[in-house]
Amino acid sequence: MRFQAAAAFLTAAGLEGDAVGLRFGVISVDDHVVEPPDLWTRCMSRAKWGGRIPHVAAQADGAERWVIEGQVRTGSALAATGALSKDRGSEPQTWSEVPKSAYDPQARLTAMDSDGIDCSVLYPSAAGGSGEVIGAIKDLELQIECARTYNDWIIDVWAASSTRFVPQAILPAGSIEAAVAEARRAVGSGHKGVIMPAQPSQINPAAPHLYKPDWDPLWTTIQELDVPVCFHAGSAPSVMFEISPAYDAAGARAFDNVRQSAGSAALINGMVLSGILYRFPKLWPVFPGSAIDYVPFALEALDHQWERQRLAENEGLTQRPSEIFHRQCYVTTWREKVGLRNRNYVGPDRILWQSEFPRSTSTYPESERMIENNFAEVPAQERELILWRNAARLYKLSI
Amino acid sequence: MAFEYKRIDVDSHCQEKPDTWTSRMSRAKWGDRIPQIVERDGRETWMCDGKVMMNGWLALCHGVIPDRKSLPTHWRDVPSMIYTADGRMRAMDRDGVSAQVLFPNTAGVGGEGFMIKMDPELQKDCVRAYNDYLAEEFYDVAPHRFITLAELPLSSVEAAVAELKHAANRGHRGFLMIGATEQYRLPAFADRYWDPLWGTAQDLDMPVHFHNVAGAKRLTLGSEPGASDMKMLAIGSANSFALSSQIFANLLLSGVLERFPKLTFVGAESGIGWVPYVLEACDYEWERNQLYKNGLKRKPSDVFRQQCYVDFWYEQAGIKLRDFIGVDRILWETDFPHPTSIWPAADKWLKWSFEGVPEEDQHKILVENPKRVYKL
Repeated sequence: MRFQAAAAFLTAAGLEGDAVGLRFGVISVDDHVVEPPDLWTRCMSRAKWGGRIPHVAAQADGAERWVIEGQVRTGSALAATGALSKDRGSEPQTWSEVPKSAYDPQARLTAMDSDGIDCSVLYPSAAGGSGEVIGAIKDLELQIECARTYNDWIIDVWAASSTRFVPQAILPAGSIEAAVAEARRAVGSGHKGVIMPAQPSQINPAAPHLYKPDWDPLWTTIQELDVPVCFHAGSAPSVMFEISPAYDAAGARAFDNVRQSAGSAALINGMVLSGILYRFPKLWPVFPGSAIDYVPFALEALDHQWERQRLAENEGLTQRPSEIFHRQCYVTTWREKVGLRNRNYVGPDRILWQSEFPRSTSTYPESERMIENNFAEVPAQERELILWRNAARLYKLSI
Repeated sequence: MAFEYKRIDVDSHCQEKPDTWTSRMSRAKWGDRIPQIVERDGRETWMCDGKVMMNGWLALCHGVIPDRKSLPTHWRDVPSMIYTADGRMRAMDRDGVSAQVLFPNTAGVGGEGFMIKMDPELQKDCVRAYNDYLAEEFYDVAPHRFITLAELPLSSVEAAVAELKHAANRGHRGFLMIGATEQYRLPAFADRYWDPLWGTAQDLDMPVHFHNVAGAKRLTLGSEPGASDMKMLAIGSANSFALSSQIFANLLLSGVLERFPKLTFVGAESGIGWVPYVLEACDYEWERNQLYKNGLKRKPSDVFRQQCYVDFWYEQAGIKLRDFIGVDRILWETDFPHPTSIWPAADKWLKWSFEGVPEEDQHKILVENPKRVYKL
């Protein structure tokens, strides 16, 4: 283990244990770690890869940016930490400005304590919210090594610090074979879920369309490993409207946060109508950042089209799409109150709660107040399901 | 005696007749570039300016075909109930529909038919012919039963404004707008470029219509290459709401409604189930990102309830949240004769959607709201 020393220190400090005792009764299933600038450079061979290793470099305007496979990523933040800034928007331009709770497990635990969060399921930032930045790397060997390095770091640094962190692995989505191998390796090393870009063929021309049966070996493997497969909102550009240049920064951020979840509806439709979930009845897709408000409608639309286009006869999809959703899928909520009124259409056992720390849409640092407000009319039993029981069951957390 | 309305269908599609354009445009000026039906590979297809129109469909009308699958390949097989005023009125009577709003078919279901790489002069003439056709063959025949909407030549805002004035004089009650203008290399609708159009529409009291995805071409996530037509239609239709919802989110955050507080926007074939999502999410982000400091004074959900309308045809869950959407904001449609249409089973679907809904709210949705929007 490369981060053994740190892990040993944390164990000695009494911060590691098997079971998680819940103090707040809240599990956030979608938060983001922020990768430190040297995450990849300190572990990967400079002799072999030279400047192609993902790293941070200062630009002409003084701002530091990620450089991945030689390309400066000007469109994305060095660290998307809007929830930690005063105006909830400004993002750090240099690493020295990045708040510690973004990248340091101990500081993160303190933030979670102050916000009433017991456990946090982890997603990347620089690697792409769903690993799509790494998945887009053209050189397959480099792509695989970058994914492995991220995954090892999550286990060695975050999971080793506390069982309150639920580690998830990104996959080299540019190759089915590589994704299968990394899913096996990562889950073997302790990862409790795998993260996939919603449409790999849009980020990497080497990947087939996700709904083609070519991907069946991956679904077979994930089903066998019995971990959820997560499609984070915002990773498939083609399901989202472009952000008009007429917006100012705050407006653009607001619209971006709304459009991402709206796009998730299309991801759910696709996973169901592609037939994948019919063929793999024990695959558990999670749609973090999806929101739940329009899910009842998405299910009605799916059932309606299934009936109108006679997909049972024409495509052999014999069950209603909504039944498949209720059997296998998970969606998440954070900003909704009205949406919870229609929770029975979604199924209270299908809904997870998320904070999306430290992004601008996050409920932090007001998670407790927002939960009280949104769940005021939800009976205690269903509230528990949504706030932690469903997540604990899905991620097999010992509580 | 005043005509008594029972149900008003705010989204149906009128199939253009073969001579819609050829009888109204100058052959001397345009030659073969005029939209017309031509025989190609043993089937008839609409062509305009050398390009195939509407994906090559002669008449998109799965909803009136017995197996909902086998579309007509020759005009002689196209059912007259989708293109004649009499035929349509008989079909409406069968579903208890008193009046219906007409959207295009061949001219682009969302008003985008003449948008792609089109000579602006040709676009102007094609649009004018379509608008005059609707007025002559439907509005003039039965003005209390057909509510017509104009297409606009959107290649330039001046041309669009001129056509809107003509359309208002010719009895049209609103117009179609593209939802993602950027995709047609036009300024975003948040851009001031469109202000003359919004201003004219507000003055003339002509509601702006986004029909379904409103010409947006994205969502290539749809179905895998090689998927069947049925699967493609199902995924495409189900996904379209992911776009509709973004069109309205974009509208609510764009500032257009602040600048034109008396302008009305209608989402046709929009569905309503996503509306609570858009309103809750936009309100949340408006507050979180402090947009009230940036000129958006009213909360997005308040703006929606003052200036926007949406419609449904088969939903139940969304209707349960009608108090939050605003019961005054909801309209009803059949989408006759498209693949998703509920014709001729409107009674059955309304019974499902209106389960537990008081008579008073039903009447608002089916009659009062559309009467207000279209000034009937």
